[in-house]
Amino acid sequence: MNSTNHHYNLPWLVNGRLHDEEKESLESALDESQELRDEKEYLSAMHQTIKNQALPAAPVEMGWSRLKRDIHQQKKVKRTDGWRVATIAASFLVVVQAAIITLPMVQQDMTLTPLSSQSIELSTLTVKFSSTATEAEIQALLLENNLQIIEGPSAIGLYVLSSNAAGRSEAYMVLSSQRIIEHVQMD
Amino acid sequence: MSEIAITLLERISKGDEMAMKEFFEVNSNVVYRYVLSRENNEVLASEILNEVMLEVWKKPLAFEGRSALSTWLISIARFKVIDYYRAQKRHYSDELDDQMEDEGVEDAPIHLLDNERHAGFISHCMEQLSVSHREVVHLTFFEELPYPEIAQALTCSVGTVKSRMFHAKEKLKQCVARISRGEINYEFN
Repeated sequence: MNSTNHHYNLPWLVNGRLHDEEKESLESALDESQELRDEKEYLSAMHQTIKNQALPAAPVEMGWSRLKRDIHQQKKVKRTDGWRVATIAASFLVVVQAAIITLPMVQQDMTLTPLSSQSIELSTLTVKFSSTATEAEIQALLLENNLQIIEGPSAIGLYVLSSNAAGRSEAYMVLSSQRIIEHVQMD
Repeated sequence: MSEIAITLLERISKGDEMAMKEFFEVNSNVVYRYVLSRENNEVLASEILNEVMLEVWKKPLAFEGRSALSTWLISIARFKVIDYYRAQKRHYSDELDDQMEDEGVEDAPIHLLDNERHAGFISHCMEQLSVSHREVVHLTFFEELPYPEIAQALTCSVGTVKSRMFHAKEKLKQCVARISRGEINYEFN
């Protein structure tokens, strides 16, 4: 080990936290070098001075009161989050059930023929609802825009909505501007 | 030490507030004094202490006992300080002064450090150091951590820790020498 390394290791010899092997090597070097001994003496004085510094103690009582308050707030938020997740999960369940019921009807014939004998072409949009969307908000949006869930949710939470081809662009514009829609695309 | 801490942390993971209180009482000084030594700001030190302990409450089992508990806490505190600067959109640089040359080794006036009056010199000179130098000196001489633990807490290499300590010591020497020569205005309180 060279002299630079000895100088670099001295502070940890002084604070008593040097590894045994390095300690032995440095102590041998100290026996042979007055310069290193002076440096050690200086660092020891510095160590004692800093160690004896009267650094202010943490405000334990006030700090704990604050931490306790924050912990309780956290717990409260956690509970609220739990209910929110449960509500959203229940909402999705209802939507999925509705989709399961309506899906076979829609899938049987994607081109519906009304009594007037004019055909209505259906097209689809893929959307992702935001995690804060409620069932009521989703239902209202679908009803207002004459949309139906025909597939979903996928593993990443995507739903396929049916819309008549004529109103698809309009529906796309409306959905794009909704707070409860995170993503929408025309298929 | 680690076993007691791990037991406390396990109780905290089960939501035991009394265990958290005990943990806070035992360990708050290490975090508070580390931030204070770096930033010289008691309000910020209290803020960071709260943030660190809240992190412990949320993820108590993140401590795996592979380092000293103080190393773990200091490392969380350091990241919280960086986050604080980021939130304030203020520049934070850990590398500050690492490449700076010392102005030349001066005579080490050891006699200046031998009594209470001159202890003030060191406190004054510590304040003149860069943050990265000051924190290494604090962790080496106040917390008395071994250099591998300091490197872990500061997420840098052991070489960087040793180099910072060496240069910090040289700068402290220069500062004390200047005070002794009357080149720096220093009044003992």
